[in-house]
Amino acid sequence: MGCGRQGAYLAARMDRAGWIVAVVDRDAEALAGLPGDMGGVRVVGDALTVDALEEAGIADADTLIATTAEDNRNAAIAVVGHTFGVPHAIARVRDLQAAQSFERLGIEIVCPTSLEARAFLDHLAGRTRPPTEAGAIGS
Amino acid sequence: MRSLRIIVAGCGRLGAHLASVLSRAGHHVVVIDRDTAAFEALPPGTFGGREVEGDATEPSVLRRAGLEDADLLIAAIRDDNANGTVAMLARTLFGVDQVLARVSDPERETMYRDLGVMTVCATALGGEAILDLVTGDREAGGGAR
Repeated sequence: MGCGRQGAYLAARMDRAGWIVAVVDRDAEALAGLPGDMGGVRVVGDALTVDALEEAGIADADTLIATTAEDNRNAAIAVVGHTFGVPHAIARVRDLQAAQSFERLGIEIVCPTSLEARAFLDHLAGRTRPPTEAGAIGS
Repeated sequence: MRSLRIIVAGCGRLGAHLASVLSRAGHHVVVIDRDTAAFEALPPGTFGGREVEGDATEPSVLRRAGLEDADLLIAAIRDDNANGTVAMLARTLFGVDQVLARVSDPERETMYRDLGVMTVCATALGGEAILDLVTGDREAGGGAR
């Protein structure tokens, strides 16, 4: 749900891994950017409408991943997927505080901002150089 | 841990979070953003660093932020092109040793590697995290770590 950079990246990877992937986006042009040899359905429509969800095959889906540009929308889409009984309903939420709140909705949340921050901080922690003759200032 | 002089370009969600965490850890942090309203994202009371208003892709702004004496620059702007410019200036014009950049297009990461810039790609990280959630119960692991 949502074929921006993240959605397209995942759809292509999952397709290559042998999943049957249905991709939904309001914008037909966004869907046109998917690899030509990808299987599965493409649906031009609003992921929050029952029509689009049904066309994408929500009734038999194992997983729903919401990666539209808006955090709130992604959470709403995942909640709807959850009510359809999809075992994994995952929303991409960029806002750190919102990500914490949305976890209480019974859906799975992935917060790229927090992953990026951790990656930077881990890198820094691993790379703090030992004090050298030039660097032994402060403590 | 030695206290570092760190410049953070971009005070959006990521920049503001990193600036406040690093400031709390005792580092000297300068955060740059074009928009003064962006500094409101710094949690009150936790950021002890300096705020510089200006376009971080301008060398004069980087100079004003003290990049010449910085140990480290983090390019955390939302726009890949802007981050590329800032990272390149930091490495080539200012000779900063450690430059870290956020990049959203995974294909751009190689370009940065040639510049000696460490990158973090949200698209790849988010993608791996989502795949881990989905495949976790089938093929334990599989993530690139």
